[in-house]
Amino acid sequence: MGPTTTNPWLIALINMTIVFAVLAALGGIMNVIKMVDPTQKKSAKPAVAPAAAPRAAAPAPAKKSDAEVMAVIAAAVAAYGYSSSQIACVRRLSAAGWSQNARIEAISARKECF
Amino acid sequence: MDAFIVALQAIWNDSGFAAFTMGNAIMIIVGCVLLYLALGKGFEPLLLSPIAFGCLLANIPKTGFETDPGVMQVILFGIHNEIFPPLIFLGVGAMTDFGPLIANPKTLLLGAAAQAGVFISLLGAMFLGFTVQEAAAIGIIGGADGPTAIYLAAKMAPNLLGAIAVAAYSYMSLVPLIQPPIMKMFTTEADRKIVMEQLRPVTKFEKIVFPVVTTIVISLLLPPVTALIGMLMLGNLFKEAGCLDRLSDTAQNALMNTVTIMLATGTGLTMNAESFLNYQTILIIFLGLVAFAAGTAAGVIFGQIMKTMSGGKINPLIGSAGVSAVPMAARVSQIVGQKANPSNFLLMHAMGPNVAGVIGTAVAAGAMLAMIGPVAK
Repeated sequence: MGPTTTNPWLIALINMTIVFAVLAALGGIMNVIKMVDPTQKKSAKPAVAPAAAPRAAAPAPAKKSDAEVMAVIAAAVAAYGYSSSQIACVRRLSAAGWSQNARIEAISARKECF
Repeated sequence: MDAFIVALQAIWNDSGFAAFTMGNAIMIIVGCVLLYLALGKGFEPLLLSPIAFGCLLANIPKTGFETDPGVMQVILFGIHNEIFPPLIFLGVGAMTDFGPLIANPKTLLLGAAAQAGVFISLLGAMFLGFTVQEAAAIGIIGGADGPTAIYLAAKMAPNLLGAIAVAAYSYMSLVPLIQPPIMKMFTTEADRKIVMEQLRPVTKFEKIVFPVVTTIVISLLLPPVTALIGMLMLGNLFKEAGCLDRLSDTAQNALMNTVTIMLATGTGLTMNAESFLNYQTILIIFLGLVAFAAGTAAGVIFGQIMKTMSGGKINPLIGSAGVSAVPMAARVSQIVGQKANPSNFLLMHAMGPNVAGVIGTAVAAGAMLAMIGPVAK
C-alpha cells in the first residue's frame, strides 16, 4: 500500500499531532498509575506518624556518626588547602538528595550516546 | 617465464587494486578521518570507530561481502532486516531510568515538541526532491536516536542507510557543540538561572507498571514500532524488576556491546563509494543539521511556554534535551544551566524530556511508517 498522502505539510502536521497526542496520553496514564499505586499510600504513612520508640533510640548513634562526618569534611576541606575555620555551615541533605547525586553521577559516567 | 607472468597477472586481476576506484580511495580517507575523530578527538568512539572501520572494509573491492555467505553478510542481514536496532533498544532500556519522567510527566510534552525537527527536515527533504519515504527517513535524524534512524532508514530508504546513520551518529556526537548556542539564543540569563524543585520519589510499583503499560498502549496504537518500543521497555523491566539482575546486566553490558559492534560495523559496511559519494549525501548531512537545530529550538521554545504556564517553575533549558541523544543532551542542559547558576542541578530534570524524546522519536517513526508505509523491497 502506498502513502496515504504526499503533501509534506499535511504529513508533518498529522504526525506532529500524533506524537503530541500519544505522549500526552502517556502522561495521563502515568498519573493514573500514580493514583492506583498501592505502595504509595503505605510509604506515605510512616513519614507522617513515625513510631515513638525508634525515634528515641536513634540520637546516640546519629550524633557519633555526625562527628565522624564532620571530621571527614574538615579533613577534606583541609586537603584542598583551606582551614576548617572557613567552614561556615554543614547541612545534612535529605536521603533523596544523596541518591539523586548518585544517579547524576551514574548518568554523567556514561560516555556513549544512543 | 610466461607462466610466471600469467600467474602475476592472475594475482593482480584477483586483487582489490584491479578494481580500486577513486571513489574507494576517497571513502577510505573518509573512514580514516572518522577514525581520527573517534579515537583522536573522542567523538563517540564506541560507535564511530566501528563505523569508520566498516567504511574502510566496505571500500575494499572484491571482498564479496554482499554476495558470499560469511560473518559480514550476517552483519549486513542484521542491518537490512532491522534486527540490531531493537536489540540496541533492549540495552538502552536496561540502562535508562524513567524515574525523572514518571516523577514529572509534563516533560513528555518537551520530548514531543523536540520532534518538530524531524518534520521540519522532512519538509526540507521533500522540497529538495527526495521521495516521501526518503524524506521521512532523513527527517528522523532530527530525533537524535541512532537505532530508530537505522530502523526507519532500512525500512523506508535502504539506499540512504549509510548516509543517514553517519549523519545521525555524527550530529549526536556534536550535540555539545550544536545545542548550546541555540539554547542561549532562545533563553535569557534569568531563564537559565531558574532552579527547579526536587523531583518526587517514584515508587517501584510505578517503575514496573510504566514499561508494561507503555508497551501495550503504544504498540496497540502504532504496531510498526512494537519491536523498538517493546524491546526498550523489556530492557527497562529487566532493570526495574529487582529479580532480573542477570538479564539486566547482560542487556546493559555483554549484549549491548556485542550488538553495538555489529550495528556500527554494519553501518560502516553500507558506506561504499557507489552509494555514499553523491550529491544526496551532502543534502542529507545538511538536512540532519537543520533537523538537530530545529529540534533543539522547538524544545527550548516549548520549554519557554511551559515556564510561563508553570509560573516560572520550569527552566526552559531542559527542553533541548527532548531531542533524545541520551544522555548527552541532558548533560548539555546541565552544563549550560550550571554556567548561568553554578548551584543549579538540571540533569535529573532534563532526563525526563531526554527519555521522553526516545519514546517520541519511536512514536514519530511509527506514525510515519503507518501513514507513508515502507518502501517495497
